[in-house]
Amino acid sequence: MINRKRSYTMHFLLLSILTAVALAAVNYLALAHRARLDLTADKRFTLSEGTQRLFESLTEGVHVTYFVDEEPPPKRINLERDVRDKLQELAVSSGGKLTWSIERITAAEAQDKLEELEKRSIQKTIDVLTSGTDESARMKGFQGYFSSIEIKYGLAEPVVINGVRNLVDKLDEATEHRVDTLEFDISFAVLQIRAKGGKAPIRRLVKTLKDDITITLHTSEQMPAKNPTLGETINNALNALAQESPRVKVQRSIVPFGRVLSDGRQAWPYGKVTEEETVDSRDPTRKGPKFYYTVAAILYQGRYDVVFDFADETTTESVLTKIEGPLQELLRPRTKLGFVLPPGDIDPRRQPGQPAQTPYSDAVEYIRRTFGYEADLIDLGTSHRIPRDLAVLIAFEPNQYAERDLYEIDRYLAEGGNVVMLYQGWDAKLEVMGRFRDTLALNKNPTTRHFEDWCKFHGIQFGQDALFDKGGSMTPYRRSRQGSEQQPTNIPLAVVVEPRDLNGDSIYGRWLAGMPLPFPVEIRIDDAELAANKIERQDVIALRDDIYRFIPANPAFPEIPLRVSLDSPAEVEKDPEATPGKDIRFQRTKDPVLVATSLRGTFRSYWDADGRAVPAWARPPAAGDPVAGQRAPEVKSRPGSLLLCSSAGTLNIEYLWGYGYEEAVNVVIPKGSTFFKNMAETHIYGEDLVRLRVRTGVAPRLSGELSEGRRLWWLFVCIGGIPLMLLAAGMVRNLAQARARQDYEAALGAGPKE
Amino acid sequence: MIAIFRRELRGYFDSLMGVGIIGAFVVLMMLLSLLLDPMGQGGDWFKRGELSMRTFFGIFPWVAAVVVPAVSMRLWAEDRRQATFEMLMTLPIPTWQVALGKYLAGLTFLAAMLAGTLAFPLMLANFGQPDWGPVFGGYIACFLLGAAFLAVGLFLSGLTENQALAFFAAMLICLGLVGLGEMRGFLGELARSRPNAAMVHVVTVPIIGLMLLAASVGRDKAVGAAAIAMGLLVNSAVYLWEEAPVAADKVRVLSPQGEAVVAAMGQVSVLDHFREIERGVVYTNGLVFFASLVVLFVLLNVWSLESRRHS
Repeated sequence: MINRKRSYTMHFLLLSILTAVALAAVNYLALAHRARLDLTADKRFTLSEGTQRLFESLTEGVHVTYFVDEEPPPKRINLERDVRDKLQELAVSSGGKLTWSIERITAAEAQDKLEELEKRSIQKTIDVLTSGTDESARMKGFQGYFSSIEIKYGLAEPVVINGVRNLVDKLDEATEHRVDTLEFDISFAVLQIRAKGGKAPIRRLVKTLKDDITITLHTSEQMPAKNPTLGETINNALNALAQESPRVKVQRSIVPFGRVLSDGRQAWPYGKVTEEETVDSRDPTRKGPKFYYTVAAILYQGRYDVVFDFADETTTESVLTKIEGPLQELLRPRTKLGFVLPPGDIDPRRQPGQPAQTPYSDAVEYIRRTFGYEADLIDLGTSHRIPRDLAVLIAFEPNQYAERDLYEIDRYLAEGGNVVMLYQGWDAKLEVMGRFRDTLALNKNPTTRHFEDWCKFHGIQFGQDALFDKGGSMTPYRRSRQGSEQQPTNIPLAVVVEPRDLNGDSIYGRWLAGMPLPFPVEIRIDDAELAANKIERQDVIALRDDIYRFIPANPAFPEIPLRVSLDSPAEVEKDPEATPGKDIRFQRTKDPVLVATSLRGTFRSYWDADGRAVPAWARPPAAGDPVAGQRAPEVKSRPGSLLLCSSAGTLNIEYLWGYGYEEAVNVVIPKGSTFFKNMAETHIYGEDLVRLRVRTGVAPRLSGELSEGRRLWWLFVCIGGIPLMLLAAGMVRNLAQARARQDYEAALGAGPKE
Repeated sequence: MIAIFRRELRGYFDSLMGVGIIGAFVVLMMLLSLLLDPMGQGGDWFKRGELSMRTFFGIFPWVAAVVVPAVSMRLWAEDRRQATFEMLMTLPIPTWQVALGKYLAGLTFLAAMLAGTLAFPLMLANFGQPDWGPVFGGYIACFLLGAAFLAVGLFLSGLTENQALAFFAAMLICLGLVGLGEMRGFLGELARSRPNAAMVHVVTVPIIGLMLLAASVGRDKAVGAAAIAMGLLVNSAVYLWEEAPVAADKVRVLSPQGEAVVAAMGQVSVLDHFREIERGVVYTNGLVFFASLVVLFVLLNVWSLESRRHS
């Protein structure tokens, strides 16, 4: 009996082990030859073509470290999970090129690690806490937490991206770095690191200087006791650099021993307050105060940088390594943007020789200062030519340019230039004070005939009507009069670009969410014309939902009360197809309404076609200029790009003046400037960047009003619906069975039982 | 086989048990995924505002590990209780056809259970435009996981006439399969710090499991005892033989065998394959994995019955 049992047991065991081994082999084969199907609508879990190309071209692996707060705010409870999921997807899709790890930072550690985190450029992410998410929301305070990614590629300096958020509410959609942009952020960081990879060593770099570079070393007489010769070491290092090139000028300034103010502050701002002892560098037995200076100020071509705190450097080579980064940054070739401003001057007090002040001058200054680009103001009336070394040419209000100005831009574009054209169909005056308080005055801007013809030639047409956004409001935070509480400030009726309006695949649309685009007009593109000229079109902003066109009642001075209701049937026509009545001032448009688009390809010159004549300058021509009136010399066309936007208002400081310089320049202009940053970066990084997908999909969010009734109804349907149906079906079935039984028993003649 | 299939299916719906299981499953799943927040995602479904069924699919493996054994427990045990088992075994049809008929009936019932939750996607459509890919993938994943658990339950139901015992045994194994996936992080660390021990666990635990199953099929206590003794001995001894774990800051140093074990665990983890399909990405090896589990346990069921038939 036992033998029989054992025999069955062994037989079964053998069969099961053999089956398990066979199935393991099948699974191994399936793993080796696996295929993959991404069912998501936007192929969320598949790397974009651009990222795939980039990863394939990498010679080394990319490592991403995610620094995250161990205790995130309640709103961000899923932040770590979301980022981890996304990194895992990227790691799997990258075929081993990307690896990742997580470093959690506890509150206790954050204090200890503060210096290290600062050194690695890891900063806290700050969330603005509000009482709600709509435009009436009030700010309640701020909350900080760690959420940064560090991207390492090869041995180069890693890139850190701070402020990585997950999508929790509508406010998050306008933030720059999110879980759904991580693929792009990481790929772009790798592109940036790779582009920096080919830097020359510092000693070779200074030999290529075109201008003098001045390095001024400020040191105190007292130095840390553990390294009393620090000042001399730095000085020797700088002098060694000066030996490499006569262009390097080194100066030294020594702050006298023990210079300290009566209240304990140091006399000069970059001194290092230290807990360690200091001594006089000339006489190490003499003790000094607990602060010292080691500051190198570097000046090159009007740009400067300051390197301070050399405390850890003990050799000349380590000093040179310390200043190498800032020096590389100062000496790197600048990206050059050219600006063509509309005619006119808004500053009546301008002194002779000063450049004309236009509503866009502040924006130009902002771009120059913030992005570190060179900004060239091009006055075509004087220079007669657009420099060909520009990364991007930005033309404000081209609809007002003289024909010869447009001719120059046309030639530049046809020769392969990158042009951003910001059309302004309407001039807006927003009155927040004075007699016309709380009104908006709109005046139609003139559009020249030659600009219209030029646009038509390229298959472009600008609409006539100013567009209003019913829910539009830009909300920079402004201090209230009553107290220190800050509250959102609205720019009423102005279109504000929402994430739903943006083409998530386009690099040109990156970071534009939340940008006010006051009073644009519709752009219409003739695709047949584009196809004939082999121009690729990629729309950047197409407005959706509740966009109204303005029908001026009095074209001379159409004032609009800022609190106008776009719900009033007397003034507003809701049907986009209807012919508006005479009292109607607004009509809803059929969305989406295109307001920004990017065209790429080889643009033909308008003046080459049909042998048009060169237009005349307003001033006498310069030597070598094509003669006006003669046929334009044929241009050798090359691929270029044209970014069109039908509103320049986001950079128009005159329009925004009513909101104060602080809100306009610090809040509104940075958003608008992103257009140029995006464009300039595509010029720097080329097709690799253009092909990257900016945003990968995320789970859509609930739309529509969530009333308590609707919530309860769906809870009832989901939880109770099926069980109740089953119960009802069971009861019906039981009744039917009882009836059948009764019938059967009646047929047998037994009669129904009580 | 079709007759067996019809008979079993009728068995589910003729009694209150079938309807009760579907009702309880729907209520439990909906309560957990709509009103409660078992995964700690920051409030109920309406508050989170994410137009997806992520919580639903997230908790499904745990709920299925309890509910599916309740579906499968009666498949054979009921026949044994009603003494129809012998009749089935003497029918002039192969055992595999009987087993497959019963399994397909269970699978149909599982599909009906999942169909009972379709109000959820209906609600998604009412609240906006959801991405249907992950929803579709999620249902495929649920069906595949349920099918695997059902095969486990079918096999264990064939070993005993006690439905409760069949239920608890199947539930324990299913919970173990899910828990293994949840413990992957811990096991991964173990594989990195003590790669040899992890390797021994990975190789011996399935063999000992199969030996225990074989012992219960053959009712051979000696083999069962030997399997347990051998398992305890080998899996404990390896810790004596294995060197002390490396320092905490070096735990992340990877050894080839440690990485191999981690990779292997990823491939045998039910939960990993489930989550991959559930988020909307279908890998063919994931499908093969679930099919393999089904084939393995249905075959084990057939062989265990045949051994009884001939004993």
